[in-house]
Amino acid sequence: MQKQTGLAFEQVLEDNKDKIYRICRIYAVAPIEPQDLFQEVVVQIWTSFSTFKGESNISTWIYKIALNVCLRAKMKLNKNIHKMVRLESIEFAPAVTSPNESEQEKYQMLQSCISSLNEGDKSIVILYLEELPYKEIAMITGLSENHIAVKMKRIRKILLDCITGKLN
Amino acid sequence: MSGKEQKEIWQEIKEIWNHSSEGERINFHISKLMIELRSKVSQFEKDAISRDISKITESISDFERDSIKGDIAKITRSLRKFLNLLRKKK
Repeated sequence: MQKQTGLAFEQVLEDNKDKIYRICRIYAVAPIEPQDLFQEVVVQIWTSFSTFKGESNISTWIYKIALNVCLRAKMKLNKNIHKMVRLESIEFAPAVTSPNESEQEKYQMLQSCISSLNEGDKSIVILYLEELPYKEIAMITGLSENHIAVKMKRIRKILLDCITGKLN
Repeated sequence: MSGKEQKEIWQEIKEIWNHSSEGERINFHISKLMIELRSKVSQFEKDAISRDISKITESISDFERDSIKGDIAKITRSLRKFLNLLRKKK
């Protein structure tokens, strides 16, 4: 039973690690690193793993956890609480093909524009960029699909204006 | 900005987003991770329980304080009523 849980947990982590990392990276603000947030998310997934009943898609559940952990970490940081989990068994290493300077610059632009949004809009646009349908975004955020659609129209404009402003 | 330009920029935003996890390689040493998680999670639970206990203790003392204040106010009111009655009888 324990072995089965371990295998299922490993599969969930392997299948979702990139999306978790993308979310952690966008939320990471010094002194918190994306790796710190990633480890917190892993702990939270493990803690809640036995309670996952399969009523929603596993990736919906993972997104919800990742967003909650990142938001909580931000609140902790605002209160000057910097205590983070350390998991020695997760190894982070630079990929063989690292992004070039221009790609890094563009990412920083995007991060700065997304960071300028309020927390609610930030979660919505992150899920939208992850190509989740409005129905799933609505499930995660607790808003209606129509509300998401209206908000997304406005957020998209803000983001486009912000990026083009920075590009020019 | 034209619709076409908007589409192009949005497409670029999506690509930047999708590639944003590519700079990092993440490896799990799963058997070690399970051991680590089990030990950490049980420690978290212990910490959470002790935090809850201290919260409850604080709340109880607040409750007791409020309750004593309430009792004193009730006794004071009763004493006043009694003294007033005594004065009237005199």
